[in-house]
Amino acid sequence: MLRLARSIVAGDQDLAEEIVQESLIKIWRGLHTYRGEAPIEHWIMRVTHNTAVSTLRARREDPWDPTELPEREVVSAERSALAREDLRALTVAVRELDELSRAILALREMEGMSYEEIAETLEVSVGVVKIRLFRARARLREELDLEQ
Amino acid sequence: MESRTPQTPAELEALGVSEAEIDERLEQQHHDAAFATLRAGLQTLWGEIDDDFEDRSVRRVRERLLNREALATLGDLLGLGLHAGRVLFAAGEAPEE
Repeated sequence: MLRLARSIVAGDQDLAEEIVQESLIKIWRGLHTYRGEAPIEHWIMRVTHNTAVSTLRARREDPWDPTELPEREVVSAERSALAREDLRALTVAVRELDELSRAILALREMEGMSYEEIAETLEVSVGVVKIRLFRARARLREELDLEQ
Repeated sequence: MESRTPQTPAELEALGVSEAEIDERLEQQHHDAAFATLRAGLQTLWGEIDDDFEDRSVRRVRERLLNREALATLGDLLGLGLHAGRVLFAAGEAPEE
């Protein structure tokens, strides 16, 4: 849940944690609405995704400043396989992706879900998942290559 | 304005790209060594979870649930027709004149 929330809010740790907490509350209160038609993990991820997207939309008027990166990202850069500047470029690049593409990337690359599972979780078609994933990967690679 | 990403097989085919081609390109990307580096970067950005996260979340969710329960109780009281000033006073706020 935290990984997915982080991806959608593009790395803002505090906001991602708020979203996880809000999602847990929704899940707690809405458990009786879970119909059991899909694995519960997918339902939990869908609640998390929807909460993250609605939270971001509510904050849309607060523009993001690309020169300001959350402190915790900078700290973890010290432990990354990527150079600090490459990690910064990646941070900027993922923020420029749309929210759906970031969520798809997270579910595929972090959670190892299949295209079909991602489609079911995010309630989009398998075609959308494939296209967004392809475009997102290509865009990120292009952005990093520019920095190397 | 930025153009919209094609979303359906029909839109892709209009661009001369079939779904089979997308599958093939996705597979190539998956095995692309450069993408392993990108994946490591994404792991750094999104994947690391500190040891205290679970405890912190449980504590905050409990607090937020309790606050909501308290608000719901307040709402119930107001719904019963009790005067708002009395309720606020009971909660520690001075009642308005």
